[in-house]
Amino acid sequence: MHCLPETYPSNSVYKYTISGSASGASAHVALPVSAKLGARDFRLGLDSWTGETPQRLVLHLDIDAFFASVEQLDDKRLRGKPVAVGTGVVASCSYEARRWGVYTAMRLSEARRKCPELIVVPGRYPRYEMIAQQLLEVCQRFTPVVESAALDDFYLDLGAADEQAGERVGRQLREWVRDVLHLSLSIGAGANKLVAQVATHQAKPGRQVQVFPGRERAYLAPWSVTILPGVGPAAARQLYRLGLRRVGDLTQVSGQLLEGLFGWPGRCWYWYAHGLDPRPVIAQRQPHSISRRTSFDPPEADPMFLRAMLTYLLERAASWMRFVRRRALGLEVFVRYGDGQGSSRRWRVRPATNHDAELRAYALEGLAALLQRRLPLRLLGVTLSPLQAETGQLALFCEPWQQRQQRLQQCKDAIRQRFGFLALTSGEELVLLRQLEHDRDRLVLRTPCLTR
Amino acid sequence: MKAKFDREAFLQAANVVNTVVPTRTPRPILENLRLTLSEDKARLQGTDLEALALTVEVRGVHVEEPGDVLVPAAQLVQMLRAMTDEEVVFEGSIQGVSLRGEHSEYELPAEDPQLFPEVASFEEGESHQMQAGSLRQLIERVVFAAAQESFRYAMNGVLWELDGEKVRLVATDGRRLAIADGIAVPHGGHKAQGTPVVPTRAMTILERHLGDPAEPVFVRMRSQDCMFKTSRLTLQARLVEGRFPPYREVIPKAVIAKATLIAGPFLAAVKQAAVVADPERGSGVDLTFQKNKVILEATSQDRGGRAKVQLPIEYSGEKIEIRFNPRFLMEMFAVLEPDQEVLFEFQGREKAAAFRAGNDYLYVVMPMSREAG
Repeated sequence: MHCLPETYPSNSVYKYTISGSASGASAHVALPVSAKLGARDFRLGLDSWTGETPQRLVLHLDIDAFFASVEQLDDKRLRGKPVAVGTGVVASCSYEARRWGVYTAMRLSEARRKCPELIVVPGRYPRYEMIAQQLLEVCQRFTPVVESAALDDFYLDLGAADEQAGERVGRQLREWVRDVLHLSLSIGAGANKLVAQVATHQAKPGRQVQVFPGRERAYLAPWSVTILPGVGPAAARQLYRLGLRRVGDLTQVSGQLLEGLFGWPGRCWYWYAHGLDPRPVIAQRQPHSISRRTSFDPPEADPMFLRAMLTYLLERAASWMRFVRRRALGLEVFVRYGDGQGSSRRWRVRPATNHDAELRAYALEGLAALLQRRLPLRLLGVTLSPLQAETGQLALFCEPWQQRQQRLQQCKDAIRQRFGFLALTSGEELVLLRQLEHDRDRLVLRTPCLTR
Repeated sequence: MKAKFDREAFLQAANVVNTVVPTRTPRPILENLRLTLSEDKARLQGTDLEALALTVEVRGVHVEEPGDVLVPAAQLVQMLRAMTDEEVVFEGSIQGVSLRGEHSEYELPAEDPQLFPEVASFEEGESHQMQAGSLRQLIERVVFAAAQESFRYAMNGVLWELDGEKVRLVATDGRRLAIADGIAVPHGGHKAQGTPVVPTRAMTILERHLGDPAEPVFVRMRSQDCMFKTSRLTLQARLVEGRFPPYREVIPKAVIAKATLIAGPFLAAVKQAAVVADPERGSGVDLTFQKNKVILEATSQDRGGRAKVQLPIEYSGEKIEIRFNPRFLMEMFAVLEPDQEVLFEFQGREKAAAFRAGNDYLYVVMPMSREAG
């Protein structure tokens, strides 16, 4: 049996209290510890600064070869064999495949060349999502501050917990994932997100690495600079030319130099190299854009079918957008034609909206314009971006038709939540139900979106 | 043409007119100011030909030879700003003009004033007359509530209602509404045609350049445009097209609770609470009215900060709660005198609330829904 906590222990988020009174009013303002961490702490040069940083412990969790492991778990025949998940590019690959030199984001054709025995499966996003959700819920029993950075990628802020607590939480989580999910979990622990994330690299597969407080800088020093967030191939080349290959090398130059060369990211790398990372763990990371797409093989030319598919993709995106309490300020429809060329149409949506009907009008107009090329489509998708938070600000002048629309939308969402997404479809979408496999919740698409 | 100017006054007048001169226009002639010298008077004119036209009398001028010329607006302002002399001599013709101080001299190109569009003048006749001080207050009390960009209604401006000796200015952005009443005396049977909505920009320019509070201001509303005239300035603006929303319908009628606030302390309390509020993300300021006090609370969702401010007030009703975007409250209370009494009227936590300052100022605000936050 696993002894997981029922609820998280009361954590000491509120540390500073300012009280005062003015004009007969009394005020009480509490600020969290993370709000105190700002650029001003670093102004005088990191080496000379000896002040105390509020100690915190961050855990980074990553399931090893997530998609591929789930496929191997569900299908005995795949176990012990090189497996890759994805269409077009490798979204995830098993450790057996990695031995052949296959890695994530590699083109599938290249992966097959490297490993002729590679078994490629398209992937089942809903299944992965379900497992990730289970893990998220377990994490939330330890702390309310759990950030889901990617589907199987979590940060836990354990507040001022000590190393033993970190070790204990990590062990419990790994045992739970091993015994309940039958997967392997790697955990990195450290004083901030960066250190925890780098430690996870070292922990793979299936172990836990803990960086002790005060050792962050020394721990990061031997790693290649490419481990730092924001250092891509171009920046890495430039750093190499300067002789800066290891993270530790960055502490030998000044922050001003790095900022001068790379702008603000350069300044951040300088901090990172000193083992400092002020990025807070954010419990609910709000999306900046929401995208849904699918591909067609053979390419699809029927405008009726494409319109229906676009409506379906859009409604899926929009219902997720409403779930995370956002409104769209813009919408983009993108396609790839049969000849491989891509194209897109963008609209500014003002005022921001979360209504299916309004967004659909923009999307269909975009599709009509894109179909002018009279070529079948290989890929069709829609992106809602930028997004604006639902503020709850009520309107003074609400016309009756708008109120009706609003109520209709709410009813639709409620029905779909209870009886499945496909419990309600427009007449236009019936063509999809006839042609594609589906369950009560979703159509089985050739390429489901593998990112959030 | 030739005239001696007080440099400060000339610069100030040029600056004022320059606010309507377009910087990017398909008709470069509009980037000029028209300077007209007549017996002992100098007049500067500018227009963007689309929305605004402005005429300003320049003070402290001694005209030696009358004339009329177009000068590039941006250069004229730059030169006047760079000069250090108290007096400058302006001289020239449409071939070119010069600005001469004691130690410095500038020359700049000029254009034929015939090429400049005719800017309507405010001749005597029908108009409403107001006092500059009261007009400034009216504009100040409503203009902040006008929409920045609106789509359905003509909300990018201020509605003017002229009725007998009464004038009412209304502005809204669809979430809050400001109504200010004042006095305007009609001359020659002047009436507004339809419901004129004056662009926000025209209102702010006018407000900024109204002079002495006792000075009369003449207002004329026509079918397409409006005109304002003070002793030294004439502003013409094209009216905003479209229908102003039916604002009377949203003024609270079913009031179930009232409280009296003092503007200064209440503004201070909202400011204190607003430090941690983040209305763009759905966290506003929660107001809780209890016996003889109001509690303002705010929570920042992203960073986890929290604020609680208490303020003693006159209130004897039941406990009520409502959430507002703090910016909407601060903008309104900032235009009031600190000791002004404000009556707060409550209809329900998801219904429009009203703030009344005296009988002539009403501010209606829609609250934020608590469910979304």
